[in-house]
Amino acid sequence: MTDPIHDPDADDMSHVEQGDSAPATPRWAIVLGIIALVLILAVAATFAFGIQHNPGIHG
Amino acid sequence: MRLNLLMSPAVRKLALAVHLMASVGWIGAVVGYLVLDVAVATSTEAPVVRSAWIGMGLLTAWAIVPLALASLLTGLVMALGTKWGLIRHWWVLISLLLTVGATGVLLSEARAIGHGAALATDPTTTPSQILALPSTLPHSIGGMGVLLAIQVLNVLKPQGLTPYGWRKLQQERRRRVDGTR
Repeated sequence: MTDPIHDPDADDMSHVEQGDSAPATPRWAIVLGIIALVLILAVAATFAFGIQHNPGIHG
Repeated sequence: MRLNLLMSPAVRKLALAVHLMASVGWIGAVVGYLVLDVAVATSTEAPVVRSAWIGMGLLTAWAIVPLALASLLTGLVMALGTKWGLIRHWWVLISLLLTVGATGVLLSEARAIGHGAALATDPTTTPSQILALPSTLPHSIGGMGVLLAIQVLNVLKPQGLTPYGWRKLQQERRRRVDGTR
């Protein structure tokens, strides 16, 4: 019998956490989440307040 | 009533292929942009800088922005059309937030790049004006870093359920247990 082919993009949820308590937020998710929120807030501020942006000019 | 948005395996594979093409194409287009941006930052020859700005304008308008929007859209379809969901797993949620942030910065930057490209295209713009245009290198390097982080997240799919995802998982388990009784 051949082994079943593992498709990492399939809807296989067998690896997800087991247990009765909610899992803690992973550290990488906190770090990348903060980066993403800073990016989104910076863009929102640029559009909301009409900040004039010139490439390479900061401050 | 529960709305079933899950795609069939064949449709999911097709959607995944389109998503990969858009995402990897976005990274490739940014690599091309980076090459031109380095030329703008380092060259002292006005014709080189002028042509680099024109190329940056074309790449942004016709490759980077369309591919970014396609990547965001197909990513949403992939998340909502599979069991991964949009806010069930941290890697999907963070990928979405990073893509939204990167696309927002790109759209904001695209206006400035278009302005630089228009100046470079204008034959009345003098060489000293062309050389005075500042490069966008810090933004393009930062953008590339974000895109690579998203790509790594999508390949590795690190474990980690959001509180919402964990609640949904518990509900599904309860339903399955009740169903077997």
